[in-house]
Amino acid sequence: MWNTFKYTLLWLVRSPGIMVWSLLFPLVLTSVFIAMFGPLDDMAQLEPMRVVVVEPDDSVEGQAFKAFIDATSEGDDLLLDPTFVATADEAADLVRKNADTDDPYIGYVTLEQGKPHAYVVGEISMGGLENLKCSILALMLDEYTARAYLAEELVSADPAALADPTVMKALFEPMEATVQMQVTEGQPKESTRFYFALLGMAALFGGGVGLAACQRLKGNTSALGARRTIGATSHARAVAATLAASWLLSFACLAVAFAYMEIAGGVSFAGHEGACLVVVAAASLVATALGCALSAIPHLPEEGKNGILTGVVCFASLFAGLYGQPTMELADTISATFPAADIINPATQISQAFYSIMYYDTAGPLAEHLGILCVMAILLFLVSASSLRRQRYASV
Amino acid sequence: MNIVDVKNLVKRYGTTLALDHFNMEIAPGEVFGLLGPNGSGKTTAINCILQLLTYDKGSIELFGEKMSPTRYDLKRCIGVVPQNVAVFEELTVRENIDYFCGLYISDAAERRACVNDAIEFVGLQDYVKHRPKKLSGGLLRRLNIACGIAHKPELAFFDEPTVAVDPQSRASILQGITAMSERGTTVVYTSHYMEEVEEICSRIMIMDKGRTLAIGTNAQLKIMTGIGERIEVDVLELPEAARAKVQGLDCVQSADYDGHVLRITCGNGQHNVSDVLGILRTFDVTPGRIWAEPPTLNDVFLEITGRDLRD
Ligand SMILES: Nc1ncnc2c1ncn2[C@@H]1O[C@H](COP(=O)(O)OP(=O)(O)O)[C@@H](O)[C@H]1O
Ligand SMILES: [Mg+2]
Repeated sequence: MWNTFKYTLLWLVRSPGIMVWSLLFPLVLTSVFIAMFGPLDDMAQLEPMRVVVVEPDDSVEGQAFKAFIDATSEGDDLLLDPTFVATADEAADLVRKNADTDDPYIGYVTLEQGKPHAYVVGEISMGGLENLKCSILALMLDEYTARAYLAEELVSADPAALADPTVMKALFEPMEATVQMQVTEGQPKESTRFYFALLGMAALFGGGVGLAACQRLKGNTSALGARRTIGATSHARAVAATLAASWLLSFACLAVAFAYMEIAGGVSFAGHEGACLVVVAAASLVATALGCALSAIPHLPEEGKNGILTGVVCFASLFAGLYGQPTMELADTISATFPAADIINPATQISQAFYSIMYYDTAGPLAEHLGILCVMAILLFLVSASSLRRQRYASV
Repeated sequence: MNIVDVKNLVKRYGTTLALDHFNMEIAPGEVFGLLGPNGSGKTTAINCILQLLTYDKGSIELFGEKMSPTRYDLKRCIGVVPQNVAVFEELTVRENIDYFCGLYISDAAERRACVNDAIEFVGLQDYVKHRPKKLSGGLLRRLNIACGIAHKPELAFFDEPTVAVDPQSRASILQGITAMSERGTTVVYTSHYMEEVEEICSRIMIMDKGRTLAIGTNAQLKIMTGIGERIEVDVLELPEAARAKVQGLDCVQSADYDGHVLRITCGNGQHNVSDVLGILRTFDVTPGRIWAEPPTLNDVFLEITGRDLRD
């Protein structure tokens, strides 16, 4: 069994046709993507914005504004990391002094005549993400102004209204929601999706490994397969060793592509590498199962099966959104219309699994995608079981 | 107990009847020649015996036990050298032999010794690190053999191992098989080259169209078909009466004269050449070159399977 495992791995690694598709191709494509989109370290979790806040006075507006700042700088998904100072001059000084450090403030906020104002560091010196942060800050303050104005109007028209808790709730909750939405939507770049879809495609191309390995195992596909079939090693062990070797190799190829993406591409998975490797393992398992199932198709030469694999991978990647904006929109339309299409698409599941590592705090969505991938693998293996078990043929 | 015992084996490929109530019994230690023209069913018979092919009817016993695809204990005693070279292109000579040997022997140390023996046996010492692509046809065939017999099987099947092999390689292959037989291995050897079978086999079966046509030792087969020696005599002039007289001899089946050479085929007999020469002398014919050849298996084979051209 170990013998079969070892030599299966060895011949697969030495097959240029297999390694080109499973390893070289994903690396080349990743390089192309890096050249197109640049490094993706911006994708990392949005950190709280460091702002200097001029301590507001004790007026009603001042207290409300203070409460607002506190609310946005507490809890799990805090948006602001405020530093309070007494005067606007101090604030400006602090911002200026920190501008060239590793941890600059994006600007300072002050309440002038009951209206918040944001003074941000000049845009030119800032990267894309800093710009985004400024927009978010401006948006938050705009929202605050609008709500405060509304509250003021309300109070002058009907002072009793403020006593009604539901009115207060209605006044402030939507603001929070609006701010939240702006943040999560603005956070991932479009190109993130390309990278994740690319990982999905690379994983599935790894199915070529399982396909080739299973082809060489069957007694009716080649003289070599026949010779192996009549050997004295239990067939079940030979199958197990072959699948294990294929899985390991496609796992290794995908892990290399993943590492390349992270190191050369600058896609930071920020400490989630372990979880990512689990996804890589599940993805290559599905790929192996897919190759195995394709090899079970009777009366079709290996080139035909490889052709089908390529077709399936490209088609699946289309709906995972690999080929650019128009197809991404098509993919979105389809997944909105037929949610099932996403569930049965391994490329989508794989890219969404990576996505959920990156953008969800909870493990739920990731577990769900992993579960779907495992079920997929099991089903594909079941489909190929009768062909894999076969040791005797009507003709060879 | 027979090592191989095949009874009434029937195998169809769709409508093609490849084996038609085929029987084969092989005793321990034999070098059994399975001789038949292309498409006669030799490979099919072997593949059925090895349980690679399903068959429609019949029973197959090896080492006295019913053979089935999962009888790994029986399979462990069998070595197969398939008709077509079947090795991994991506693995070296040594790795290939080690892989196939590993299908039979899992102990690494034992296997290493076997692999070394096999490499030496086929004379591939200088090529252990080569990939099959770099080997010539003859060396490739030798690798194919080494992969089949490295585990020192008790029963070895050689399916046309010398096809497309240079004469030197062929001689060494035949020598090797004889050596294996001397060490006690039972050998089943298929070929459509009569000389080889004649040279190494202790018993020969001639088959065609999936059926056994004749079986016996080399000598038995020749007697069975009643074929004797062939005689050629160079003569410049031969009276028709002399040719008719020769033709009239009991032992002579045919006598043809083409103006230069008198060609005679004989049945089984003892003094054919002297009888013929005696007649020529009475007609005052002085023979030039005289050439006599004992019957070959080829003659037997053609006699039995017919002389129609095969593909
Ligand atoms: N896979 C196959 N499908 C259909 N017919 C086959 C197949 N293999 C062999 N045959 C036929 O079976 C007969 C015996 O073939 P084979 O056993 O290969 O003969 P041999 O080994 O004596 O040359 C031939 O008529 C051949 O055409
Ligand atoms: Mg044959």
